[in-house]
Amino acid sequence: MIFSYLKVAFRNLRKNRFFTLINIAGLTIGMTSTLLILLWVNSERSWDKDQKHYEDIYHVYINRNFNGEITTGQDMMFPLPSAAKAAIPEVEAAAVASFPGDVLMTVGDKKLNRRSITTTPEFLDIFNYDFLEGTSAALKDPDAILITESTARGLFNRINVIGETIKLNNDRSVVVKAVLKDPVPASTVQFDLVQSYNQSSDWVKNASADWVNCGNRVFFRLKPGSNATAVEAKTIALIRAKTGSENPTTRGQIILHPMSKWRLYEEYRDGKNTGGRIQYVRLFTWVAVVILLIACVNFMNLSTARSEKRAKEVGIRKTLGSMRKQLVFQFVTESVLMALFSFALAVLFMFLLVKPFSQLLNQQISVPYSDPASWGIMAGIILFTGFIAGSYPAFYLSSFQPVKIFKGTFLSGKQLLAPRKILVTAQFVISFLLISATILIYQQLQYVQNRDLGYSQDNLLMVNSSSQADRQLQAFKNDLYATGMVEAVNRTGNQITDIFGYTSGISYSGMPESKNLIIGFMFTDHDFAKTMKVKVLEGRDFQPADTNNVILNKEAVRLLGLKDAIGTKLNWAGKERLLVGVIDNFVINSPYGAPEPLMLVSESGWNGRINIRFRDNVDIKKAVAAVETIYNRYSPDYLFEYRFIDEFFNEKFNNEQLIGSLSVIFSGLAIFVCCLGLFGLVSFAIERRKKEIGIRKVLGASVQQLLVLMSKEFFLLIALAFLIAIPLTWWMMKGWLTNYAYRIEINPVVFLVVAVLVVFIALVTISLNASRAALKNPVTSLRSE
Amino acid sequence: MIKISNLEKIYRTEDVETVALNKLSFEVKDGEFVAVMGPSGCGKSTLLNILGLLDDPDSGSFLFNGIEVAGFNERKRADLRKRNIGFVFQSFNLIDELTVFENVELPLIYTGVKAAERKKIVEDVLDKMVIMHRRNHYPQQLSGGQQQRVAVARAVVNNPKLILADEPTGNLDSSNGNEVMQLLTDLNEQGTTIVMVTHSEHDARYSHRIIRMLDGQTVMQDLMV
Repeated sequence: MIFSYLKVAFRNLRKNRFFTLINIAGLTIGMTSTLLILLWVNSERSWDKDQKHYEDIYHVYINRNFNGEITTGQDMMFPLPSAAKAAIPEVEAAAVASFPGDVLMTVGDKKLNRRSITTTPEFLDIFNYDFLEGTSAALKDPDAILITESTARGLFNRINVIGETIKLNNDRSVVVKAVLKDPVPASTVQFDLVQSYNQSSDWVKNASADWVNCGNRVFFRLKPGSNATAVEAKTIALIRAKTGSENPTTRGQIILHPMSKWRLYEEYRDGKNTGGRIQYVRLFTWVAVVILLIACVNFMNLSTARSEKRAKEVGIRKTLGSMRKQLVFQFVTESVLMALFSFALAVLFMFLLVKPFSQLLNQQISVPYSDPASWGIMAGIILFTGFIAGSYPAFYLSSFQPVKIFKGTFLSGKQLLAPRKILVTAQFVISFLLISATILIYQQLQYVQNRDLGYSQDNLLMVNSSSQADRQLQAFKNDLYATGMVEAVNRTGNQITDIFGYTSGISYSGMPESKNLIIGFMFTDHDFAKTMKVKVLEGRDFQPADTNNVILNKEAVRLLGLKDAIGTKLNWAGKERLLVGVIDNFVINSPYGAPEPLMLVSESGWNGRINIRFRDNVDIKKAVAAVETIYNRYSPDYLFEYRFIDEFFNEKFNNEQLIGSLSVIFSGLAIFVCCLGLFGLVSFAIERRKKEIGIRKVLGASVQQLLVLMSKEFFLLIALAFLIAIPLTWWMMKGWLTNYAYRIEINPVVFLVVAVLVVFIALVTISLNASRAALKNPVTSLRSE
Repeated sequence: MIKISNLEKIYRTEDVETVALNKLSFEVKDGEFVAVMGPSGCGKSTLLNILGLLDDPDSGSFLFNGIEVAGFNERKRADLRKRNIGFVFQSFNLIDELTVFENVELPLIYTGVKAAERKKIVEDVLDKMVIMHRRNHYPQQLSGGQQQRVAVARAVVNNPKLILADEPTGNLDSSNGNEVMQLLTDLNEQGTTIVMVTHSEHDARYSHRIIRMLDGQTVMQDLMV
């Protein structure tokens, strides 16, 4: 029996090649898109899963309470892990680790700048890495380091490097005691070398007793099955007991951020997790489902549209005794067969496209062959598609009454116009929404990228400073100026695109009690405003003699409530500092946000970055080469590494660029699939009206009149789709844009443009088909009588 | 009205070449009623398509009202056709989705007649054809004879100079058939030229002249008196 169904199904698919082709093309595109999106979703969801204790690892966060304003931070006090391990039974292992930082590694003439973490031996009780050489005991030795395989190859061209000596930051020498496999790319904790805190150093001795200042990360591994909420409560209680006094930290709450949320739920607002990348993962999971549904809708539309052709078969089968459920089964077999075939093609395309797709997204996406769940999902896609696409036509076709079919009173095809129209309208609503959303995302991105930042990023180069360069700073600068290509030079503690740190400790005499504010700060030295091209509103830029002065931006002045700001003496970090200038606000941190309050502090010893502003119209390549020569003269032991500030800035758009790219691709595909469906529907509509078209032509209808006639009903649907889609899109995109303080207003012209575009696409689709019918000699369609 | 000379039309498929019209020549004068007869496949339908400006001859000359129309492009033919020629088909060829009124109205829409005027003309014609009472019915709701009367109404609504009828009684019983033939005769008497393709000797007797065709050529012409 099943064989007979398969045979009939095959013959039917073969006989209706055009119909089969459109359906298979649609389903294949739908499934390929779905597979690619699911691969991406899978790769996003599989981050950190290589860790053995994935379920039990937590990053300790703190919600600090500054007079009711909650900020979430990762920086914790140094002695917390050992105290927590001793006091809280659920804590199996706890480690303190530095934030990753660049370290210059020198072996002979070879220099590499690599990412380093400093931690305690317990780090390896929490995280597991494969040791290629050596053992985890290496971390117990403060003069030892662990390096990754790629670092070993970079420095030595081999991995059996135990016992080799490396100089760090041209300062101290360490011995390699272990070589680890590189952390997998899909891993949140990334490093190239691991150092151990020197337990006998003064710094560690002081830090071990300091429960107030926080500057390191803390990781916990709990015993399996522990209640994380209970541990959070015990941890903050421990901190309160150990600190003894009140501060924003002790007023706050501990959050154990589980490893399963590190990648996708990294954002906190007002102390609560607000998601993060997960919103994109969810969004595109929906897009995948929608594209697949569009393809299924095509299948349904085409199947019911051509039901007249199948009616006779249904009538005969029923007359010969077929039960309705047998017919349903037969039709579903056909659609599942088609889904299966499309799926085979989709898998082929997926393999062809997965590499370019990875490159586009700039992340590694692989096919999880070995995961049985993924095979289950794939089988699920086939059956889902087959059943969704096939069920409706199957139930519809099998409901035909044989008597009516043979009497000819049966008007199939026409009966289902209403549901078909609804489905086509829905497809156009989705197309409209996807195109408009894509355009608005790009507009927002453009808008922010072209934002007046309050400083200039053009020709602004940043190089790492060095102790050698610092010692001869003036001579180094003079040489830079002597090239004639450099307009200004200045040093900062970090790149200008990020705030160095936040403080709540600024005060001045007569400051109102309520002004306990969080203000960003950044270390720098003279010529800051000149180099960055930031407008000085009052007072002056830093000068060489400024060693203990500060400059505030307009927003900080406003928040601190300063009047006649210049000359105010501010207390911060144990020193009294003179306010010498007020600068205009400029954009740091988030390019989407409102300007943040900022304090520039002129203090030497913190300025590890040199910012070099080139003159306009210099040859950038030559200028960089000149800087390199001078740099190497003054810092022979350091590696010359440079970056342009606009590169840093552009990294802030990675997420938006990602959704932009994904939207373009998948909205394009969705629309293409919609058009395929439209094309099919039009061709069936024309088939049905072949005679009518012939008659009208004989009676004098022009080709244009016929095209209008054939397009009219579809354009009514498109118009209806616009009526639904425009408010829907407006509402959804308005919601998306509220994520950004600095955002575009939705311009109705976008909708007009998209409407014209959709109409144009539909017109082309319809004309391709209709013009053939309209141009055909009417004699041929009338002769058959 | 019509003067064709040495008209040729050849249909080619992959391996067969069929000569549908072979150097066909004849003339139809204004106000004439001509019947074209001949066995199946002799080229009658091809001739009618060419006369109706639906198809183009491969060679030869076709003077319509003194204008050479052989080689006219689609647009010009359509223009000429909708103003001068009415069609009556064996299978009526009414549009199922349109009412009687709308079917008859169609040619007027395509020649750009204004709505108010169209209503008047269509009602006039429906009156004349005695199907006014059926104006809001759909073709399926009418008998064959009634459908053909609608088709004739549609053919004459534009007041064409020429009516081409292709087996107009082929799908009708004899009483309905006679009625339609009477309609055509009346129209002819009012001055419309008619060329009718038919298998029926009975119908042919309504005409002034019979052109008999065989293998794409005229073999003889009978004059009826």
